[in-house]
Amino acid sequence: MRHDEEPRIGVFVCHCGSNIGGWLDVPAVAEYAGTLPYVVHSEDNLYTCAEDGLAAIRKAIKEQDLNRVIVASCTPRTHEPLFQATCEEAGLNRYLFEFVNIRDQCSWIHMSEWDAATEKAKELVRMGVAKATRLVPLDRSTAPVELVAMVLGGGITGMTAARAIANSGFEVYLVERRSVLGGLLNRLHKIWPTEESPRQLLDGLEADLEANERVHILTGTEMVDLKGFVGNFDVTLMPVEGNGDGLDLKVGTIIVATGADEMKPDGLYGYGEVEGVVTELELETMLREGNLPEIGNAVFIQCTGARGQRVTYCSRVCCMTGIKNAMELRELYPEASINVLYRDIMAYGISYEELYQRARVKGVGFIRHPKEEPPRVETGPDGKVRVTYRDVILGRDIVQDVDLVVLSTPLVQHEDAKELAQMLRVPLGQDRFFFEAHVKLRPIDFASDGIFLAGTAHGPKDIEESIVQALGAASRSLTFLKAGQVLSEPIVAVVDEDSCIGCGNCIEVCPYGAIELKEGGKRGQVAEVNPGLCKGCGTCPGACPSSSIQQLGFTDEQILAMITALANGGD
Amino acid sequence: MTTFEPEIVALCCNWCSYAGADLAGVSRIQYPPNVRILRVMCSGRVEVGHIIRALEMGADGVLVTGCHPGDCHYISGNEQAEKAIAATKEILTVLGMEDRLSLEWISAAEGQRFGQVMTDFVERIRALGPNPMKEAKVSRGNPGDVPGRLEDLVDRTGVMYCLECGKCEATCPITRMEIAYSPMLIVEEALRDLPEELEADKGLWNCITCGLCSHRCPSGVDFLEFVRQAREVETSSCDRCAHGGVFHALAGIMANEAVSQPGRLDWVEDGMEVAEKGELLYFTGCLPYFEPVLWDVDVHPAGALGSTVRVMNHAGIVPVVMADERCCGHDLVWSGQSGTAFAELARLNVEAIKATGARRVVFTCPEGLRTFAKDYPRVLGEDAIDFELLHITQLFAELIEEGRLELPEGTDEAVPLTIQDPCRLGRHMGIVDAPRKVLDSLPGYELREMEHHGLNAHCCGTSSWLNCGTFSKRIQVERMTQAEDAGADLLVTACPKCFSHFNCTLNEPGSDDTPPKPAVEIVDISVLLSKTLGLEGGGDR
Ligand code: SF4
Ligand code: SF4
Ligand code: SF4
Ligand code: SF4
Ligand code: SF4
Repeated sequence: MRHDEEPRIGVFVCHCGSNIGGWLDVPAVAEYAGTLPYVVHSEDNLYTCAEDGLAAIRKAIKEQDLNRVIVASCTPRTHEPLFQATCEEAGLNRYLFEFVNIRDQCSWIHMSEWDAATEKAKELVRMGVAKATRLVPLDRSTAPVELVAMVLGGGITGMTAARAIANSGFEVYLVERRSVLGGLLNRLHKIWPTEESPRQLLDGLEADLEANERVHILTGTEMVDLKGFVGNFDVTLMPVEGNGDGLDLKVGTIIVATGADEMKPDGLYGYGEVEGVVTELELETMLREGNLPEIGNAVFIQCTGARGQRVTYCSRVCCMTGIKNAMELRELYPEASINVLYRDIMAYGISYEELYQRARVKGVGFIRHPKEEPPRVETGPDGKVRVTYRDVILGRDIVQDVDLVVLSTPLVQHEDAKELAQMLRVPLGQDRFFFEAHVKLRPIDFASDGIFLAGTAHGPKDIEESIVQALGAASRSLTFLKAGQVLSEPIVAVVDEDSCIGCGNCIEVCPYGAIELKEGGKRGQVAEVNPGLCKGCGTCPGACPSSSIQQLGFTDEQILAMITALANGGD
Repeated sequence: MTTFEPEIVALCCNWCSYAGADLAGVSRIQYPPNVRILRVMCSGRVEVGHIIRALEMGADGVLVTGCHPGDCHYISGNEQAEKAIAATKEILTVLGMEDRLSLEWISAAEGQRFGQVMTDFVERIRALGPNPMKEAKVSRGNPGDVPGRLEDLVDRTGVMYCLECGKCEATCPITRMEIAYSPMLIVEEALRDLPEELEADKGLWNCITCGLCSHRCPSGVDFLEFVRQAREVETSSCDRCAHGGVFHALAGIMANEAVSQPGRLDWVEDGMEVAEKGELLYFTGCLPYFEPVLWDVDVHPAGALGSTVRVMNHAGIVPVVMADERCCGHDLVWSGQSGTAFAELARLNVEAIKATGARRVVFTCPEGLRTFAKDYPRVLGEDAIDFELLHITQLFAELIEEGRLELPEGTDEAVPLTIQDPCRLGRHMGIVDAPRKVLDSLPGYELREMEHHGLNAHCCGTSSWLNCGTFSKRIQVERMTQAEDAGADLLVTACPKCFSHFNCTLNEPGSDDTPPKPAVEIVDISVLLSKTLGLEGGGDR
């Protein structure tokens, strides 16, 4: 077998254009790599992941008879599969590939330390070579995928995704914790730019879903437990109210489309204290239900609670919502004076810029105020609301008594999102929205395979963007469902039956119950790992007093070799 | 003068903290270039041994990062990491290196925090200064002075006098379990100069160095000495070390003079009287390290330390205990890793003892006693040890004989107990009477002997933290069954290692199908004596 031969390692050091090469001495790293034990080939590439870089890898494997390959470039989290596949194409087992990260962990973070970054890159390569020397070929196994998807969240995003999956021929469970589908759209009056009622959009979707026998709509239901992994999730659902029966499902993929809430700006601009101060959604509800009082004048306050006031981010949709509703009020009450108080207007894209222009043409006033001097809102005379704001152009305070103050507040993550995130084992970002695997390379995926992300659960988005991402998530999900099987990573635990003392310590720590004691071994009982259940966390070796259980790909020998290589300067 | 740039290893979990490091990169967050990331799938993969080894090799700091509690990609791997790190911290506290290790939770979304944690840790280590192991003068491994040929070894250990009578294999506990293993065969292989075969049948490494064979050999072949030297010739790796080789790594660390152990006497409690200078010195060995290293097998042998001092104090002795005492080096000697470290351990220990003015040195651990008595003279010179060496049971026997311990009146009902003769105490040192004298004089107990006892005793199945394997476990079960068969409720040990190995087997979780364990309780002889004297305050037995 090839791995029994003496290692012949090839090292490919990537410039990543100037992303790496601009901040450390890539040729010097490649040259250094060539001096390390068992390295028979080293080169630097402008873009190792581009076709000519990959071709160079394949060529060197063939011509130099390499039996280990190292790429020193970006992160295994995005590029490992590509390089592994390249090795495979050239006839090398994909687990004889080792990744060294000198971009995210070197060039990009030490941008003013050329020498130190170069030195560090060399050491990281040295550690990689030490590990590569001890790699062994591994084989992936396949597991069937449960041909069912689950969509969490029955708003426009979840409904769109569910429909797309069902239309492609797969069963889908659409789980919504409220009693109706539609999410935030239920509370909107009109949607831009069609100016239709959201009902039209929702009714059409709902009719499609109901007509499709592959769709199972579960409203008033929430997920209370999740186990398993891509292809084979075990989900427990429960009714939100009452103590009805739960439902256990097996699903292959999950889409998280749980949406967001409008921030309730208690304590800001008189909200909750001064009569006549409402949020955008409260205004839309009044518009929809037709119980808006007569309006002579109104003020919209943008960025309420956003961009540093309570949350740090710009919520993206509130400018457009404010402009849309300001225009709506102008249309209902053509005589009314409607002013929008803003810090900056974010009217991105063609149609929003057009909407903004239209609002100005229609006579909506836009008045800018500095961040440091936000408007003040208090109870005014005769049931009016008194708004005092700084007009930067006039350079003085304006006092206005108005019938209505509308606060444009950001979309925020649900209060209890953390619980769901922990159940799914996926991260929330700093602003508490669900966090994708990689902002550019995997924007719809979570780091965990088989779980995808769409809509405002991911961050503020408008309807169009939510629908686009819903379709993206559906298609990512379908990639797995259509394949019908997943390849499982072989970095599982294995037991040396000769030395295992059958103590059972490893069983105690395995989070997946993947280990059992079976009859056998020299003591009568010996540990056995079920590779289907083992998820490759590598926790069990730490509990084994006799080092009899090891995690493939992360053995003690490999880890200690890396540590030794770092300490000993290469010998 | 060059400024100190810390070298730091960060073991990062794939899903949260490694992703956090990536995000720090994507966000161009600048942090000091002192950190080298080693990716593992889960922080739960990080073992005590990885960290101790990194520090032994001179890393200035070790950072372990994982997902926030509750966020672990693998449900609970990070909880296991927390336990392993806590145990490692305890070990490092003895060495005064606890600040060189940190465990941090960093999520995939916390790029900024990743950079901050790295910056803070680098600064913390910078303030601490370099790891004393950086300039390590000595290390464990193959010793330089053993000629690498089996032939010489044969000459030195007299194995050519082997009569091929087979008495050794008839008595060897390992041969009993693995018929392919035979001390006689090993001698033969050596005589024919077949080192590959020696290594291939793992013969050299299966031996638990219990010494039964040498004891039986009619021709005086010193098989023990042969095994010791052959291992030094064969290998320097710690592949067969139990507990991730942590004890052996600690020995390697302690062998460096620059390493101090500010926490070594943390076990000394208020009310115990100990001294820095004096007539009698209590050599504690590695016992202060035992419990954190053995955290994963649920054994608690460290109580022997306090009990020993309490009994001594009771007899009016104020023992010297040394903060700069070091591992005796026994485990390096028997695992073929003496390197340059062993001689240095010997030198440092003997010098430290001499500085206290002690004339008598008392050991709880028979392995330490044996090492001082038989191996130190080998490296330090025949008359290097000019103080008396004795096992704790010898001191206890003496105190009892002199009437210096006030033993209470006996009761009518006596609890049956038996004694495990540690191989290092019995066959290696020839001491078998002292523990019996102690036990015979204890009121309320009655000594019953096991079938194999004294110089013929079976050993506890593991020595030198080496080769703990299926044979060890079977020997332990067998031995405890012998104690049960002798009608004993208590199996008394006179060695903290025997105590640990037996308890480990009793306490292992096993499974529903694991046969029930022998019904004996393991008790350390110092603890038993101290309790009998009423010195243990609270708790049962
Ligand atoms: S993305 Fe990665 S592999 Fe591709 S050029 Fe950049 S560093 Fe190299
Ligand atoms: S690697 Fe993790 S999942 Fe696999 S058996 Fe070990 S503890 Fe269990
Ligand atoms: S912990 Fe190690 S020795 Fe114990 S049963 Fe598991 S693999 Fe075997
Ligand atoms: S020392 Fe003990 S284990 Fe080793 S060969 Fe002799 S009898 Fe067997
Ligand atoms: S028997 Fe001894 S060496 Fe083996 S695991 Fe238990 S305590 Fe460790």
